[in-house]
Amino acid sequence: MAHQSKKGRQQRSIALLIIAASIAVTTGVVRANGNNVASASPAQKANDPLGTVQALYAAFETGNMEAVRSLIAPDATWTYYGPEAVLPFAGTRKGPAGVMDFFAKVSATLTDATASQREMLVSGDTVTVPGWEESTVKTTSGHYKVANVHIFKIRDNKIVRFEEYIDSGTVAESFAVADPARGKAYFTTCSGCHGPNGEGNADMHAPPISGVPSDYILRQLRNFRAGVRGKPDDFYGYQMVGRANALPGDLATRDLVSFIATLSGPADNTTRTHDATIAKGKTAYETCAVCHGAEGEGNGDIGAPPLRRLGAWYVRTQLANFRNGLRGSDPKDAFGAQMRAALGQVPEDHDAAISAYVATLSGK
Amino acid sequence: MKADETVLPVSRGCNRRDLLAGVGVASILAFFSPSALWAQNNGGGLEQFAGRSATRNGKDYEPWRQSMIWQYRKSDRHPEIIIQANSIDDVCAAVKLAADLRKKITTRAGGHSMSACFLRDDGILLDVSRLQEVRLAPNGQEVIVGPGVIGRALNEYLRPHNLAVATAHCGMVPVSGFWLGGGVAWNGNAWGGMAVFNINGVDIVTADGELRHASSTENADLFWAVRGAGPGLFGVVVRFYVKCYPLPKSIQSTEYIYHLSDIVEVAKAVEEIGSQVADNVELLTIVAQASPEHAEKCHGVGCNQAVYVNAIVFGDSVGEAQEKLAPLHNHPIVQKAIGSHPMKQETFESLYTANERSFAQKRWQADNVMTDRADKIAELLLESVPNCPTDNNAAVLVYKGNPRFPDAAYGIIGKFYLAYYMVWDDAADDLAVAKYHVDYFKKAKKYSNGSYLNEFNQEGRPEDLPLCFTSDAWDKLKGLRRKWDPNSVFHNFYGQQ
Ligand SMILES: Cc1cc2nc3c(=O)[nH]c(=O)nc-3n(C[C@H](O)[C@H](O)[C@H](O)COP(=O)(O)OP(=O)(O)OC[C@H]3O[C@@H](n4cnc5c(N)ncnc54)[C@H](O)[C@@H]3O)c2cc1C
Repeated sequence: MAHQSKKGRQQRSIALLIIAASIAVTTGVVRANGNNVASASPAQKANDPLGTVQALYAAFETGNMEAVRSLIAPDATWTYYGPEAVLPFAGTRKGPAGVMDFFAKVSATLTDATASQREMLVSGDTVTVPGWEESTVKTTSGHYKVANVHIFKIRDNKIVRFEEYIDSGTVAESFAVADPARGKAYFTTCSGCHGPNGEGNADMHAPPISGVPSDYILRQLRNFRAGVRGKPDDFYGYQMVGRANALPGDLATRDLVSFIATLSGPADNTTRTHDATIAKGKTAYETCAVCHGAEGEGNGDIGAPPLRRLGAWYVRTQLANFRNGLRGSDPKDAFGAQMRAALGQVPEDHDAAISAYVATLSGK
Repeated sequence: MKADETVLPVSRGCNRRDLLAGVGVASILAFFSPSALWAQNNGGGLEQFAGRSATRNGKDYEPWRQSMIWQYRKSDRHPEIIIQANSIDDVCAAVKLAADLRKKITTRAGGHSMSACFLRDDGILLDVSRLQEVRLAPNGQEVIVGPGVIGRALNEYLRPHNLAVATAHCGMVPVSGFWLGGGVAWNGNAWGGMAVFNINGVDIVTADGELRHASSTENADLFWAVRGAGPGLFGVVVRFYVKCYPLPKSIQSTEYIYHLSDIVEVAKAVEEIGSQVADNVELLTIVAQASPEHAEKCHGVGCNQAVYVNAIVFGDSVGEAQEKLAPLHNHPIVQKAIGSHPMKQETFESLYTANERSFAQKRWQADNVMTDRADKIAELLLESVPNCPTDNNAAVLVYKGNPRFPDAAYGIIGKFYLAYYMVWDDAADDLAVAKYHVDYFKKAKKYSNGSYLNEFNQEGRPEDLPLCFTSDAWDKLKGLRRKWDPNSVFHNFYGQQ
């Protein structure tokens, strides 16, 4: 429920359209576009359901929780439908204190929340708002993006009833802890190229994936699943789009990553080169070392993966991908953009030498 | 994985005493003891596979089941037990377990079967994809390969040795099922006709749980079955000994593009050209989506598709390629071409990549015929392709000529191999695609000498599966199955129980 994006509003869900359409047919609905939040001034009217709801979203967007609180009637009920045993914010709460508790639970458990309202359908004192929300569960790193419907009942410009209908099954799945046993099953999809122990296989153009921090692997798998990484011209990345999307969902992706975390063993070093370019690479690498570490150990705090187990062929390909925008140019790839910008400081004719040098790093 | 590594002597028999104790005693017990009966019903004996097995009603079954199938269309069949082998010993143990529990077993290597023919509603599914050994034999002419290896990896491994083997057209196709079922390979006409004829021998776990070697001189009848029985093989191959060829020094390709409306003439022309070119010239006639540029130039029905005639020479020099492509360039059909690409240098990798680009991992189905009537097949394509429910459909006519094969389970020949692939995104289209595809092949059957099992639509027309063999071979296979698998430990061909 935090901010409105144009893209979100354009989202269409058949289920929601059906709900919206049926409301429109049965009640002769007044429609307002979620855009016109600014025009609201609830105080001027006796009961302005639309203005009240718009004010709520506006207050929420600016993080003004006092304003949110002021819009809740003392006897209000606030319901989020979902399994209460799993979702700390599910169930029915009462009054402003209850609503504040709801948001406290939300912010204690979720991070990176974004949401949008597609439209606001007004019927008498009721406002129905189809939209979507996206969030990450702090404890599990589970990520969801699901459609929802908010239904408000307004009395005297206060919310007396709020109900959120949401795909709570998917939300609940994001709270599930990843299970490496399940992940092992999914790993069958990976092992043909990355090897039975994730050691990588240069002959398959598949880098080692064991010994790589889980958050980096998870981020890359999600990038492949969303097409943020793996554009058709990045051919081996493109193949990963197919493989990553063979995973049935985000939980399966996390299961897999948790299994990969259990793998160890030497990386496939078959393509290591030890020639004169390495000395040149060592000097040029100093720029890279700022983020990736002097020994290629990586720095998780800034999203810089370790490089120490990678073959020269892989590093070379990725440098080229970053340079020509196949990686790091998608608006959803902030870490990639960071890398792309940093690479701008490095002359392109150093790439081969850097790649050769990286392949000699031992990294601890 | 080093080339100079000596080849270890093949251990024959995982452990004969174990075997006797296992199959002999346990199978008797299985009949009489209540605890063994319990085991039968509950997957007892599975403890040895803890962490790499799943039972149908148990935890994590569905992830295991789905992960067996490469494509996104996950066929709705549910084996009772899925076991993933980590070693050859595991394979022996799994086969013994199947015998003990009186459950039928099937093998899955890379899971690329577009019919997921390894997936049955009963018994054990044994996944051997983790067996990924690759090494060059000391004689330097044969490569020893585990069933979990993928074609691209194998040819990349052999490249520094200036060697190559016959692999599928997409680099990601696993070698195991590909070879065992036949294998329509790059440079296939020069390299054995079908890839399976490059197998010099295998190590195979038979129904008694024994590891055996099979070749033309050892267990020759079993070897006869290995060369082509594919998804109906009564044994699990755990190592292939495969003939290597010198890596072609110069791979050159060229292409002509035609309107779909000219396909019948093109097919006739390719047949003429095919009869004139050397075996190391591969002729592929592909019906696939037209580029916007060509679609614009075209009028009438079928403009969304175009016909691409590719010729690839696996030779030693550019000069050789130019010479060998003369029958193509000199044929009058080229006057009708709407586009062409001059000759260009290829590698196996560039060939794989080009193919894979158009065949992304999605929902899939394939079917095929071996035919001497490319013209009639082309007529049918002309009539059908514009009505295909998915734009992403591709027909490939591979010129096969007049091969002569050694006596083996594989025996279907035809001047052309026609494979027709459906690739689509949405499950809602499954039925429409399936119907279109089966209908096409009902018509194509008239012009068919039989089909190639690995790309045959086993789910769509299981009744035609025997047409993947000569009738003699089909009968002989039945006899060999009785001999090598008297208790039917292995599942028969899909749909043939
Ligand atoms: C994208 C794509 C491209 C393809 N291109 C080609 C091509 O160019 N030419 C061509 O000929 N085919 C091609 N194929 C088809 C391919 O040959 C088959 O899909 C083949 O089955 C793949 O091998 P696999 O190891 O994945 O088999 P799986 O699907 O794992 O197994 C199929 C069957 O083979 C048997 N089997 C497999 N391994 C063993 C073993 N070790 N021991 C005993 N039995 C075993 C089993 O009975 C199993 O049911 C292609 C398929 C795809 C998906």
